[in-house]
Amino acid sequence: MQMIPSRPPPPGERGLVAWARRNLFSGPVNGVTSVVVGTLVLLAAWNLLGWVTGGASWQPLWNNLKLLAVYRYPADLLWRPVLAAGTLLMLTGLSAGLARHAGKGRIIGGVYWWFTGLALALTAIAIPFWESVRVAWVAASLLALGGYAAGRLAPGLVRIQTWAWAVGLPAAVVLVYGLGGDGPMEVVRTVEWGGFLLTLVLASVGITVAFPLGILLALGRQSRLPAIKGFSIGYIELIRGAPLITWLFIASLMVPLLLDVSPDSIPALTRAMVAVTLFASAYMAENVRGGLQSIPNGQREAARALGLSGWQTTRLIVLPQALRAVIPAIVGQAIGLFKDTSLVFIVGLFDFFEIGRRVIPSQPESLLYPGGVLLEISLFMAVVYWFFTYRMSIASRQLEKELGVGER
Amino acid sequence: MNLHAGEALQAGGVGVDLREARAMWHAARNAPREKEIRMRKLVTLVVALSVVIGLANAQDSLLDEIQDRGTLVCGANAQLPGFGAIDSDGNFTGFDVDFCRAIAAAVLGDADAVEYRGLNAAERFTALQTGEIDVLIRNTTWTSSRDSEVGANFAPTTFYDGQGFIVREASGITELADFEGTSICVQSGTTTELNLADVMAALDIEFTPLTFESADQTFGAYEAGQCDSVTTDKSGLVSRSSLLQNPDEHVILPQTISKEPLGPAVLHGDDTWFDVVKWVTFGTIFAEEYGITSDNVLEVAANAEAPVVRRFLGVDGEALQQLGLESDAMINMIQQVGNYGEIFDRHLGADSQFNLDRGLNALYTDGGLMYAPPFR
Repeated sequence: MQMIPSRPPPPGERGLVAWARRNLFSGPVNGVTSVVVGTLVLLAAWNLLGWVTGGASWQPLWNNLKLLAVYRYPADLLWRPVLAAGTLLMLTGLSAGLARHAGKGRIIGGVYWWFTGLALALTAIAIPFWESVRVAWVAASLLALGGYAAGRLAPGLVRIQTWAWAVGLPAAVVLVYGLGGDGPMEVVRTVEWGGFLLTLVLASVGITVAFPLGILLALGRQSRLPAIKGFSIGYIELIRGAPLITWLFIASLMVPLLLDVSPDSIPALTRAMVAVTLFASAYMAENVRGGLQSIPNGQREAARALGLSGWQTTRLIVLPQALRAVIPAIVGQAIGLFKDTSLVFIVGLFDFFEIGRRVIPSQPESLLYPGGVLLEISLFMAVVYWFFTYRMSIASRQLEKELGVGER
Repeated sequence: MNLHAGEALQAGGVGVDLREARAMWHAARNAPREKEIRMRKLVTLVVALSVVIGLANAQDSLLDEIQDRGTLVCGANAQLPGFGAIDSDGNFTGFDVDFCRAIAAAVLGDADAVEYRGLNAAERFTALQTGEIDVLIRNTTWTSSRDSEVGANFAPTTFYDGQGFIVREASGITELADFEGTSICVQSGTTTELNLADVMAALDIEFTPLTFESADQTFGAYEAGQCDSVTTDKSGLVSRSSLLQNPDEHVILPQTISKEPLGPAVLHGDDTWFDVVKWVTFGTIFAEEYGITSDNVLEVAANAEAPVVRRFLGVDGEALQQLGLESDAMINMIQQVGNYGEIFDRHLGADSQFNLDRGLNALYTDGGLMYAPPFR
């Protein structure tokens, strides 16, 4: 007996043409829709490309990149935030390298390469054009690549990984803020911060602090102790009852009043940070509560029957499953918060969006361009926001897959 | 631009903070009357309290505090081309900003010893009331309620603005009566819009207002022929008209339908500091009147014979010391920043892209309103 060799499918059943036929032209209505929509999309893309390469004035954007990145951060100290970025990339690289060595770490590796790619691209621009941060960017790139190489080549470093983060994170903060004195490490007060630096600081502090707070509040809301339960419910409902912009105003005006100090003694950045964090934690709590409620009570009872304490039950049985179930919601909130930080303009902070939308178009030079420069800047800001939020979105998808959300 | 309901409504017409202004305006308009009064009482109370506490804590003037601190905290605008903007290096620059620099130069001897707070229209008076800033120089219109209810003291006006109209030359519109049956583009939520309605109603002129969110949209609609005219502050009309495709085909009508005197403001209750801000502002005008510029001030100080000039520059007499300043305060100020005419030309006039006429802002000797009392 002889097997008949399998033959390729008849032409017209595979390849681009077949795909198009199946997906775009499966009937007269679909065909017409495809042609019309396709033409419109192509036309729009063509016009956009024409505008981007011909009509738009990119000079103001190029001139103002420093303003968009860090606002009034002193120009001669710019190497500090750049090195801080390098430090963070080095740490991420170290962890990514170590994880890769152990055959894991698709997620952190993805994040690492995404942002290292950005750092390398900026270094390539800095070498010919940005004299003041040329060396800093090269150093940052070397740090980033070095971290990854160390992780790959020296698996023994896994023992100091936690320590590296514990030292490196504060070091990055100190680099940006400064230590004191008049030398290269002089303090750069937060009123000078702005632009993308401010957006990143607000978003990362907001997300990292709101996460544990949110878990505590969610657990508190389910507590049997009336005081804790009452406080949690009151807090969550109060905060969620008013828009972020209201809390920003309240934090900005009321906090100094309530603490009976002059407004100068609490920097605007701190006040905004408090408002953003408290606001995010209330929403985070509700996200986590959704996860907690998805765990059937039988699991708790089973855990107690096995002799686990209440805290052990929560920590080992309930929370891991609950958090896994709400990853999409949490990441969604993180992405939202990242963009919501653009509201801080209301308390007089100059974040990335504010600088792009108002400060640069208001420079007298910008008025020399017919129609202004808002369109160009807006397009650029959209790309930057997208670059960061899209990466968060990919990481969330990978995390869901790895943890098997939806397959429980 | 006078305020009706919201202090948020602010002077500069060139597309600034309109969203907040609008929101606050609507909120204030819709609020019940007594609530508003209660709110006002509360604000007054807070201001009064802070003044009392300020007096109780220290008899010292803000002037001493600023000299101890070594920096002046100045509330400025970051979003009004020509008046206050942030350049690509992150430095504040503009007509208003130069008055911050002038005060710093006079008080501290260094025009760069200023810490700027970029304020939007909504927060500027709060910042002044809470003491976050020492002086507010942010194209702020001097009005009676700001003097009384808000608790501000206004130094001399540095810029006389007013609402005007731009029209196509071919349209034949030369006076307000010609607007009968026409359409006028205006930014929504501004006092410009309210002034326009008030003035046209008083003259019984029928017209169609077309409102837009931003200055860009307003002028875009005008250029596209959707309306016969645009109205906003004249300084804004001038700076924007240079952006029109054929600037020569448009004229700005000579009529002005509102008063917008813009100037520095400080908080009530500190006369020593108020005097300093007032007389530094006068100093810039005085210097121009007597031909003292940043180039020749040292020479004038060395050679001047006129007693009035010698007193002004601190060569003779105690006029400056009586204000709490050093005797070289005015020399520093003029040398580092310049006289009023220099400041005007640099940011708004002949040396700038706006090329604004001095108009009402000329010296009184040239038919304007700039007039400084004597230093003696």
